[in-house]
Amino acid sequence: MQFPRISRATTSTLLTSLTLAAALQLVACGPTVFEDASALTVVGDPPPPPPKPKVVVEKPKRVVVEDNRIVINEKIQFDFNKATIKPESDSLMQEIIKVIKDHPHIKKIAIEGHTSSEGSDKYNLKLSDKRAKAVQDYLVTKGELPKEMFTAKGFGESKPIAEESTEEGKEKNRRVEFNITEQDVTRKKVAIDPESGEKTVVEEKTKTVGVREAAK
Amino acid sequence: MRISTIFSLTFLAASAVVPGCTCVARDAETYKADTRTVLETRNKTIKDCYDVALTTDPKLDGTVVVTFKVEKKTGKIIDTAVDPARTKAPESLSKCIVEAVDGLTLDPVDQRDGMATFSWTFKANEPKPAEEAAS
Repeated sequence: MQFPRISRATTSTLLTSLTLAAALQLVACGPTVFEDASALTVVGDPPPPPPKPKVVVEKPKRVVVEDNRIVINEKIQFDFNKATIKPESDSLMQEIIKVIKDHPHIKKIAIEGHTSSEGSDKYNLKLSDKRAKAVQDYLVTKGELPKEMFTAKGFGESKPIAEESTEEGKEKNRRVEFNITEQDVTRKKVAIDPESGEKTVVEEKTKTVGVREAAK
Repeated sequence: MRISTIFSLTFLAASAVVPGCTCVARDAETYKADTRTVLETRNKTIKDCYDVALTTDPKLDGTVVVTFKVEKKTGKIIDTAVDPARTKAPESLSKCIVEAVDGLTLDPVDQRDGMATFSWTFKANEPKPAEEAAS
């Protein structure tokens, strides 16, 4: 087999071609540089804030002991024109009994019945008196509280606390009050350490006093 | 036609068809698009990175710019690094993204290395309202 003879011109062309091919390959294998102009967008979900503490709205207490009285923030309901406590006031009465028992420093309570100006003075006086006594009976019989602890008296329409010109005022005047007439008062002498601020009871005296004295 | 010319043309044609690398030769746009598709497979992981960062700062937003190389032999994303000059995000978030994309593979591989720059922008939704505490 005989190969054709390659001329100088052919050799030169082949060399040029080889150089070109090598250059082409170099270009083909160089790194491709690129930058993505449009960013990848990530939308995140922040965690929900911690749950709000549940707001507990405390119902105002129906029966509150103050310095020299027991305040009833609800009315004791009586049958119309009668001194019979309605069953719907049972829970309130039980609460009054509990509060008295929970405050053993209370020694004596004056139960006062009051009415509005509707009706005759005499009738109102009698009705309020009967109602005050009905409350006392309830506390003694159902609450098993000592009878000596209470006095009960009606004042009719003589001690209004609100204007009688409006129905609202009249309603306010129809009421039963619980006034503390005698209670134990504890007086403490406290020594305060000047350095630490710590308080120490150095003397404690308890005595039974009437309302006026207790208020001093 | 002279024999030398025939030889040359044949050689050149062969060189063009069978280059040094026996793989896909993408143009820059295709390379970018294909790489982006690969990166998008980690969208969920990257969102998780961001959501974690949002637990520290619920209003956090920003940008993370990452550079990397797509290796021509393996198609692997390597040499991943944050571009600190163009990144505006906490380091922990940037690091999490680097870890998420590092090692991903472009398939099929390209005959050329890819020197890529990608960025992620982060935006937070409004936080969900707080639930009432159980009683």
